[in-house]
Amino acid sequence: MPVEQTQLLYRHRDVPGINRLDTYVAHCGYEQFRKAITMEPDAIIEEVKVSGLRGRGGAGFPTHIKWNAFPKNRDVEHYFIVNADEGEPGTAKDRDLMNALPHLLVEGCLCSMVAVRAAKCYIYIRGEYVEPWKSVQKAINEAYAAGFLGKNVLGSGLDFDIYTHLGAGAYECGEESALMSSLMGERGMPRLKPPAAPLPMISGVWKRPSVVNNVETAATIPAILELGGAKYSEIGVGSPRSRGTKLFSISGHVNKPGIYEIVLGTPFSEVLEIAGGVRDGHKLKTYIPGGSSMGFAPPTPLDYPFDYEGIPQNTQTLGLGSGGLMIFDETTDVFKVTHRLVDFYHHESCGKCTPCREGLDWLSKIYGRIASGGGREQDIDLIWDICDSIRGKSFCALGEGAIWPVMTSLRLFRHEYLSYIHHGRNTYSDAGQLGA
Amino acid sequence: MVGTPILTRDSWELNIVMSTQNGPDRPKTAAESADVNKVVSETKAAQDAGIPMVNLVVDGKPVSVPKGSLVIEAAFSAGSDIPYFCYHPRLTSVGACRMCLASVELEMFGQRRASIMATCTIPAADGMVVKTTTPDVKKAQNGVLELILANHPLDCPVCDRGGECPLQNMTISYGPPNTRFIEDKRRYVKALPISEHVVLDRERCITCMRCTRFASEIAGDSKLGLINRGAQSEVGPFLGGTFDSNFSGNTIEICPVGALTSRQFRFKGRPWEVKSSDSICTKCSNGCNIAVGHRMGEVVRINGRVNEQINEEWTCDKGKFGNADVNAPERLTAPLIRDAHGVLVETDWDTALSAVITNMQFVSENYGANAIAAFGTTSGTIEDNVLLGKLIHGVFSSSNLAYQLTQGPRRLPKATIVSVESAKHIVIVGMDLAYDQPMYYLRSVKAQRNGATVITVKTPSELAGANLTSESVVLVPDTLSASDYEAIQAISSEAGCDYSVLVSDANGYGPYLAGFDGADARVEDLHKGLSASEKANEVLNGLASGAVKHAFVLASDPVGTYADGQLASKAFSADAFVVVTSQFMNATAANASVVLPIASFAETAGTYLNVDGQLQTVDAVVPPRAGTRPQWQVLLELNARAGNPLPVFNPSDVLPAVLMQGGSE
Repeated sequence: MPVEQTQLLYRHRDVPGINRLDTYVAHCGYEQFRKAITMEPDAIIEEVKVSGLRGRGGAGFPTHIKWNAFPKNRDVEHYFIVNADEGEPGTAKDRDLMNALPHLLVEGCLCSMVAVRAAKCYIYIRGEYVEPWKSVQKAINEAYAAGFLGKNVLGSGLDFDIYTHLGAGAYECGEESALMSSLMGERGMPRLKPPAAPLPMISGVWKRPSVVNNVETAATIPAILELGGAKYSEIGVGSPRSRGTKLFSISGHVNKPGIYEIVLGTPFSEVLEIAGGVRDGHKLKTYIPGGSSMGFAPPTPLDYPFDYEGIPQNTQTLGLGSGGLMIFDETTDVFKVTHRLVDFYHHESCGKCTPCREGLDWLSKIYGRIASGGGREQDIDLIWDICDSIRGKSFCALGEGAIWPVMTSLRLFRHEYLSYIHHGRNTYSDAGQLGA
Repeated sequence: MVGTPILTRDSWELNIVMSTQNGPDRPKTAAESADVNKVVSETKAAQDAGIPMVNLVVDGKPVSVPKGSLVIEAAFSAGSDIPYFCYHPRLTSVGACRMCLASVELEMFGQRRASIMATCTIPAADGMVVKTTTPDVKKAQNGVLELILANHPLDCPVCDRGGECPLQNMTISYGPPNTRFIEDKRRYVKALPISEHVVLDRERCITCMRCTRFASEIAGDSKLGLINRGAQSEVGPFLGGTFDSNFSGNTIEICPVGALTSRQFRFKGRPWEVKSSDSICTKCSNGCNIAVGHRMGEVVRINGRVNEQINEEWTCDKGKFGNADVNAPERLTAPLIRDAHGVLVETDWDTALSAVITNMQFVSENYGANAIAAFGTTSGTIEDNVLLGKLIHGVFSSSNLAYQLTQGPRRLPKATIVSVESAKHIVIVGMDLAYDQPMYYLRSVKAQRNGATVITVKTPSELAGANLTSESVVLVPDTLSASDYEAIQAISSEAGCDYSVLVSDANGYGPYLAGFDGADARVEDLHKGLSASEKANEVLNGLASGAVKHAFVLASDPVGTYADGQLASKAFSADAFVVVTSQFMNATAANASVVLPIASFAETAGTYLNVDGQLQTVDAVVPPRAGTRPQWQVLLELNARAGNPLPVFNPSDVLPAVLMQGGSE
C-alpha cells in the first residue's frame, strides 16, 4: 500500500494562471495571511513549533527555534530574509516554486513576517534566476496593488514590505552569513558564527535582528496555519522528527524527472517509483539523495524512510539536504561525475579559508590529471588526505559539502579511480551514455 | 557495501614532523613574541583589575583569562604554543587561515565532546579542556600547513621576509617536510608595486586578510581589499588604484609571509644581518616608539615597537619611510662658513667653532649681553636646549632665549592619545589628522568603530556648526593664528568643552623644559598652561633693527616656519652673525654666517616630551654620519671654548633634575 502523497504546496500547482493574484485568491489565496495578521506572533510560532517544521534549505534546523530567538518586541526593525540563492547542484525546487506559485511564497513571507515581527522582507534570489525573479517581483507588485503589502495592511496598523535582491552568481552566497554580507553590499564571504559572534536573530543584517529561511520553508507556513500545527505534524510516515511534506527535485536516470512534493518518510523505493523508476532497461548504480554536497549513496537498501533521519542512517551520506535527488544508473562514470562536482566547488569556493581554497584547487588539478591519464596510485591517498584536511576544518559548510561526494565516491567506487589510473579510462561504465 | 567503514589512512604519521623546535620555545619573530606578550600582559592586567574571568585547562594547566578572550589567547596565557597566521591581537578574528587548530573539549547541546577547532574563532569558556599537542592536532595542523604551502612559491632565498617569516617559523615547527603536489603552482607577476612604498607578491600571499583588515579596521581607509574569489583570490587596491594610505607600511610588518615588502628595504640586507635598536621617531610630535634596523652602521628600515600609550605597535609612513633621510646625499657633512666673497664654503669644525665663539665674545664685549640671541629647538632633544641655555645665558648672560615659533597656546592637551579612543564626539579643526597627528588619527578610527562621531572642519568659524557638547573632544593644531585660538576658545567654552592644542614638532616643549622661560620648568606646569611668550617676536625685531648682532639658531628654521614670514626673512637678511645647526640646508641656513652639520635623531641620544606629555629617552643607534656631530657634543665644545668646561659624558647628565625623577605622570 503506497503512502498517500498529500499535496500541500503543490495542491494548486497546475491550476492555470495560479501565478496571478486573482486566480490565487480564488483558490483561497491570502486567507492564511488574513488569519495570521489577527494572530499573536507567538501563537504563529507555537503552531510552527507544534508542526515540527524544519528548515527546507538543507540543514534541517527547526524553524521555530530560529524564530523564537527574536526579540519579542518591535523596538528595532526586524528583517525576514528568504534564501532563494538555490545553487546546490541537482536542486531546482525553489525555481519551480517561484515560477509557478509566486503568491504562495509572498503569502508565506507575510505570515512569517507577522511571526517574527518584521516589517521588511528581502528575497535574495540567485543571479541566474531571472525568470523566477520576474515571477516573484510581479507577484509582489500585485500584492502591493491588492493591499497585502504596503502601509497599514488590511487595517492592522502594521507595515509590510518585500524586496527582491538578485545575487551575482556565487554559490557561497547561499550560506546564511555570506548571504547577509552580500545583501549588505559586502563581499559574499561567511562570517563568524555563535559563540564567536551574536546570533543573526539578535544582530544580523545591518546589526538588526534577522533570520534567513529557505523559500520552501516560508511557502510551507500558510499550509501549517491552514491545517494547524498539530494536524500538519501528523503528516509524515517516517521519523517522528521529520514531519510534513518536502519538495524533491528528482533528476538523472529516471523515466519522469521533475519536482515532486513527497510526504517525508515515504520509502525511497516509492520515491523512485513516483519519478517513474530508473529508466527502462537499466538498473540503479548510485544516487545522491539531497543535492551534490550530500554524497553518493549505495544502491541498497531501497526500503528505508526517505527523511531527515532515515537517509544518513541508511546510506552514510550527509542526509536529506535540499532535496536534490540525483539518480545514476550503471552507465554512469562516477569518477567523471565527481570530477565535475569538484570543479564546481573549486570554482565556487569563496577563498576565505585555506582548506577550502587551496584544498579544492589541488583536488581539481589532481582530478584533471587523473582524467587525462596522469594518475598515480598514491593520488588516492593524497585525495583522501586533502579531504581530511578540509573535513571539519573549513570555515563554513561549503568545504565540508565539497568533499563529501569525493569521500563517498572513493568509498564506493575506488575501483573506478584505479581504472583511470591504470588504464586511463573507466572500464566499468560507458561514459558516452552519461546523461543520455 | 553498506556498513563499509569509511577508509582510514594510517600513513599520516610519516608526514607529521616531530620537530624539537615546536612548542612555546620555538623560534619566534619579534612580532610573534609581541603578540604573545600583549595577550599575556593583558590577561595579567585583567586579573589585577578584577574583570570577570573564565577558567579552563590548556595542556593540563589550569588558566583563567578575561571573559571574551579567545581560546588561542588562553593557550598563550597558559604558556602553550599554537601556530597561527591570520590571528592578530589588534585585529578582529576571521578564522581564515585555519592554522590555529587545537582540540577543544566543551559542552554543546548537553553533551561534552572534544573536536578540533580553529581556536582564534572560539571564545574561551568555563570548563573547556584544550589540548594543543595531541597526534590528532598535529595531523590537522600538518594538513593545513601542507595546503598553505601548496601554492606558496618557497622562494625564501630571494625573499625579504626570509629569516623573520612566520610562515618559515611555523613550517619548521609544525609543517610537513615535503610536498606531495606535483602540479604547477599559481603564477602571478612578481614584485608588483602597489604604492610608493609597498610591493606586492601575490604568489607568496596566503590570503590571511591581515592587511585588508588593517586597512579597514585600524587605518580606517579600506585602501586594500580582496579581489576575485576562491583560489584566484588576491589582495590589492581596488579598481587599479594605488595603496595610498599614510599607514601602508604597517601591512608590511603584519604580513605573515613575504607578500607585502618594503620598496625601501628591498634587498638592502637579510633580516638576520639587520640589527634592531630601540628609538623614538622624531618626524612629528607623537613620539612613536620604533625599532631602527641598521646594518653596518647604516639605517635600513624602521619598524614599529609596542607602546600602548602612544602607537600601540603601528607607525605612519612618514615615520616608517621618511626617516630614510638619515641616509640622504643632501645631508650636510661639513661645517659651512661664509667667505670673503659672501659665499658659504666648506670648512673644518675647528675653524667653524672658533669663528662662532670669537664672534660671540666680540658681540658680547662690544654690544652687551643682549646683543646675543638664540633660538632653541623644538625638534632636537631637551638636553640640546639645556646646553644652549648654558652657553647663551650661563656664559654670555643673554636673556634672549627664544623658541616659540607658533601662536598656539602653550598647554599640554587634555585629550591624550589614549583618551581619544574612548571619546564620543571628536572634532578636528584645520588639519589632516592622518598626516599631522597620525596616532591621534588611529585612535579616532578606533573611537569611530566604537560608535563615535568624527568631524573635520577647515576653519574655526565652521566649529559653530559642529554641535559641540561638553563631551566633545576638539583637536586643534598649533599653527593657527592668535585670533583663531580666541574664536575656538569662545565656541568651545560656550559648549562647555575643552580644546586640545597639538604641537607639531617632536619636542614642542623641549626649550621650555630646558629652562628657557626661567628656572625649574616642570611637566605639571605644562598641564596648567603657560602664558604666551613674545620672545621670538622680540628677537626677530631685534635682528631686523640691528640691535641683535649674533643669533644662534639651534636646529630650527624661523625663516621657513615663523608665522610672520616677512618679519623672519627681514630679520635674517640683516647684518647679524647667524649660526645655524642643521642636518639639511634650509631657508635660515642659506643666510647664515656659519652652518654646523649635526647628527640625525638616530645618531644622537637625548630626551623628548611628546605631544601629550610623555617623556621618552633614547640612545644613539648608529654612529653619526662622517663629518657631522651630535648637537649636544657641539654645544659642549662651544661651552668649553667659551670658558665653561662641563663634566658631561652623556646627554642625560644635563637633564634637569625635575624631569629625571617623575617623568610625565
